[in-house]
Amino acid sequence: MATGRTVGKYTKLQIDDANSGGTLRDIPVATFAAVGLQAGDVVDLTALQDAVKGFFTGVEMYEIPITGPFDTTTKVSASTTGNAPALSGSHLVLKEINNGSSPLAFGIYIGMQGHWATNDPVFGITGTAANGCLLRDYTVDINTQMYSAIIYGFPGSAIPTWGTAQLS
Amino acid sequence: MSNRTHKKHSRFYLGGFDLSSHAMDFGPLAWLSSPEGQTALTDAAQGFFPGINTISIGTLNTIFDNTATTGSQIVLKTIGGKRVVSAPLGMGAAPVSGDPVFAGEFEQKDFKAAMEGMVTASVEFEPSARATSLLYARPWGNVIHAKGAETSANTGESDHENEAGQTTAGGFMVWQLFSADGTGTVTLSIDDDQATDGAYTALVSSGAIDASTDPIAGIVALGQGVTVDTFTRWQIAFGGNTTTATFFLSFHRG
Repeated sequence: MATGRTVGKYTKLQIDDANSGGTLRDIPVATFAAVGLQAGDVVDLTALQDAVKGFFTGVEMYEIPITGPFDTTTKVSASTTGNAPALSGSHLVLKEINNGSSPLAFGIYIGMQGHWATNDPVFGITGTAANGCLLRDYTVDINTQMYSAIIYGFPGSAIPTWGTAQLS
Repeated sequence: MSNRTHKKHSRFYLGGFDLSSHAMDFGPLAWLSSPEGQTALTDAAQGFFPGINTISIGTLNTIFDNTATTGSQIVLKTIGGKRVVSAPLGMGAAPVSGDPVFAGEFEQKDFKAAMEGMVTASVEFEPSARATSLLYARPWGNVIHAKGAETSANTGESDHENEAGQTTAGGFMVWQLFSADGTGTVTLSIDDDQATDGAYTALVSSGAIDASTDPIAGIVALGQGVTVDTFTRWQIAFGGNTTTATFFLSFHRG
């Protein structure tokens, strides 16, 4: 495992392929935005008499827009540590989980100067009956042949974290 | 068949008319949900549940064409009606059985011509409250019969295999009848079978369509708990003096 800097081509997304009893799949992604947590409900508590502005952060949140090529490749098993991504068709996965209400496992893996391996960073959460993410707004642009969708939080779920181990 | 594609392999069918030779582009094909916040004070992170879905076929941008009967201006100039729209995406070639299809019933909001350079027109659609498929919030399905002519019933073993196998959530059939001869009837339907043993049974049917009403389109919805087997195939029947029909079929599982 390398440490230090890396390049985007070693990033991959794995996400459950069904709203219940799903299987993790690698899907093709061209762009990720806002990978990580953000402070939600930030309130401005600045008084006129304060010397500087002051804010209080609320419950954390995440909302990760993704885009990628519209793809109908037959689904295959997700890749494991040290291996190149094994891509399943983005359309075959996303059309099944879009706008669902059951938590999904997901992981955004950042390979450090090579294919992701254990001890490289990964942001995500293991799926259980109460924990995971949801996905919404699956949209296809035929001019670019690219899809877009948004990964976001399931109510009451534990928070996704930055880890270094394969998620399930 | 390729797994990725180009828009030149997409098609746009509306009310039994094939507008693909006029359409320059359409979309975006959107399947949206307005999230409803559900965050308690002590939750680790903000969470949301999906609200009511919005399914949109977006805007059709087309060449302005006044060819009698089939020109885009002739077909689309009357607004305010409910339109059955099918948008199959051919994967690396013209659409074939198994290719993805985005379809539904949409209200045509407008028809606006523009005269900057070549004369073009745009049409915007909204989801229809009169839609047959209001029970289903899933616009994506698969081509069961690509646009083409048939003159006899289908006796084939299988046509399309659902990758997820048998489902128990119903679905709906979208049919586009582009042309039929004579003054008899055409019945478009889909059969299903759990194995490739030739034991197909009828799943969903358009009923007898008067051939003289072509071009015409429709949607037939199953009950939401209906079982749909793994394999589906197109089927056709003729009545009276009608012996050939050019049509498109897709099925959208619930």
